[in-house]
This record gives sequence, structure tokens and C-alpha cells, in this order.
Amino acid sequence: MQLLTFTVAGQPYAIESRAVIEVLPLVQARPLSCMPDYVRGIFTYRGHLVPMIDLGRRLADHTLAERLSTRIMVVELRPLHLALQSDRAPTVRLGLIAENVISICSAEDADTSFPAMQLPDALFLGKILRINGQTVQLLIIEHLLAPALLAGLFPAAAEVPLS
Amino acid sequence: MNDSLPIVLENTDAPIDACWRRIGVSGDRSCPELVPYIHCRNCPVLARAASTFFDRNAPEGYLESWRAILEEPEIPTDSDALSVLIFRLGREWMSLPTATLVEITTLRRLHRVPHRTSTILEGLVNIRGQLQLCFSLHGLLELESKPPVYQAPQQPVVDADFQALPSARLLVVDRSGQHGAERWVFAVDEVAGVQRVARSAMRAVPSTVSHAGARSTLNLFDFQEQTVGILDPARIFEGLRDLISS
Repeated sequence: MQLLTFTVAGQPYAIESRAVIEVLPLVQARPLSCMPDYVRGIFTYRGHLVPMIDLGRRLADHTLAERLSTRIMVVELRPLHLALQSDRAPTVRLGLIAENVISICSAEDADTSFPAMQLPDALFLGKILRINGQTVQLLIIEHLLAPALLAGLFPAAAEVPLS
Repeated sequence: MNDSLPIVLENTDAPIDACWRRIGVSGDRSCPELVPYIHCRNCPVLARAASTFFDRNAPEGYLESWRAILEEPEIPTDSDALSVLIFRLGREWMSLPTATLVEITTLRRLHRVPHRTSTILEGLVNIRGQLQLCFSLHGLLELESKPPVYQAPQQPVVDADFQALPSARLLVVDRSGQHGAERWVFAVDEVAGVQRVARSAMRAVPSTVSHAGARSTLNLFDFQEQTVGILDPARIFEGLRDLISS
């Protein structure tokens, strides 16, 4: 399993590269009102509007540095509430922003791992792997947004802004 | 080879020691690390220095230009397209699915096989040290034209840059079927290149045409004002199988 690594507040994290469509420079997002602070806004991605999630705010109370290495990871996921409605649930896209989005690594290189925690408020925290002398925590992107928020952003299959 | 590349960048303002220019491949090559890494591009020192490139602010206008790029709608990738290699046989343009193709190479000397050489089976040709069967696609498709013939240069080429390269090529095709891998070579008069053809752009072969070329043709499409036939690799290989088994 290939992982896309990045950092938040100096700590290494990773997501599965399978879910990643593209990594982009940090373009401006239009802020959205009545949203938790980790939803930075919505931005235009290849003609579609995609919500932008600030992992600095989501994982720690951290303001991301405005560097070239602070980039948007455009990911595709299948929200659980849409999967329950039909078998062929559409996928939705999110833009995740974090620091040092510059390298990938292989989960097979992990020396040891710590199983995923099951914290009700932080289901997105996945396995912790020890790779090349660094301790990397996997994030489960399906759980990054609270179910109510994800259902609110992408209400029903027909209204998903993706064809 | 980036196994030693740290995920966390050390935030240093220290000037980068460009050791690759001093003792590396751009320098005097005295670096002992060149023994295991062979080239500086495999060395973690260079990888670390390269990653500091990202550790700065975006240049002016960069994000604005990206915003404009992302405004452009996504072009749907046509997964229903077939990739073909287009080539010319005499006056006719044909193509084969690129999946069947192994190699395109220059014309070379043909070794005729006594009593076996026919209008279709031409002989043996040396491809990377292996003798491969060479056939005439012109003959198999019953075209009027003849395949190009290799001619040894009369005199050494003095100024190769000003020599117009002959356009004829040998194509090596391969099929791995139930009889094991079959590899064949044939000569074409010209290669135009690889093209992706959408299924919607393909036309059926008119049913009134019934010569061998039409029977081996799956579809037609237009390429640069020419009508190009997509040959059916299965038919071609079947035809060749009949040829050598008879």
C-alpha cells in the first residue's frame, strides 16, 4: 500500500495514495459560513466546486505555513450515508490541505505498527506505522468529517456536484 | 531510493552545500557515496537538498495561474478508445492495435529460406540477435504493391545529418495465445505514429468490399484526411499460422 505523507504541526501523517487524484498548490478558497473552523471553504477544481478541509485545524490547533510544500491533496471518497442508499454510490471529492506534501512511502516498509484507535470523536485516526525511523499516523479520509457534516455537504446522490 | 528522505523537513536557513557539484557527478566524482549510489540522483543528500526547494513561499503569480488552470473543466478521459499504430503499405494506410506491437526497427538484410519463401513468407531476419520469421503484409492482404527491400549502403554515409532517412521500417508484432508466444516481423513503407481512436470515430468496413485486406480489417477511421483501416490481429495471426502449417 502506497502512502502519501505530509505533516501537521511537525508530526508525520499519511493517507492512502489510492484515494488521491491530484496534489495541487494551495489556491484560494471561498470561505463558507456556518462551518466548523476546519472547513476552510470551497474551491474550483477542474470546473467543479470542492470543499477544502484544513488538516491543521482538524488534527491540532495549528495554522498551516504558507509554503510551496503546503498543498492540496484532492481525494475521492465514498461517503457512508450515500453508500447505504444504493450499491453504486457516487464518490465525492475533498481537498485536504497539510504541510510538507512532498513524498510518498510504502506501508510495507513499516517495521512495526500500533492498531487504529477507536475514539468516538476521532474515528479518522488510523493505524500508526514506524517507517524509516519516523512514526506516521494514517488518516481514514471517510471519517475526517463528522457524519452529519458530510451528509450536509453532500446531501443526496442526485445532488452531488459530480456526474 | 528515497527511503532516507525525511517526511519532516528540518527548517534550516543554512546554505545548501552543493556537494554534487564539488565531489559528485558534476564535480570530480571523488565522493565515496558514489560507489553505492552510482549517481547523485539516487543519493539522499541530493534528495534532501531538492526537498528544500518546496520550503519557501510561492512565487508571485504562481497561485493565480493555478487558479486559472483549475477553472478549466475536466476533460473526460475517453476510456473507450483504442490505441493503434498507423503505417503505410504502398498506397494504403493501415493500423494495428499497439498492444500487439513489440518494436519498430530499421530495414535489414533478409535471409531467404530455400523452398519456403513465397509471396507471403519472406524469410528470416535478425532482430536483437534472434532470427524471426519475416512475412509480407502486402502479400497477406493481397495488395498490388511490394514490401520495401533492404539495400545495403553503396558507400559510407559521410554526412549523416543531411541524409534523408528512408521511411521504410520493420515492425515486430507478438501474440501470446494458446500455442505460446508467436512473434512475426513485417516491412512497412512508412510509420505515421500512434493514435488513440475513439470507438465513436470508427466506421464499419463497407460490405461491398471483399478482398483479403477488407476481410482482415475491423474498422475504418479518418486520420489526417486519410482513411485508415484497423487490422484485426487475430485474423492476421491466423493467416500466418495457416501459412507455416501448410
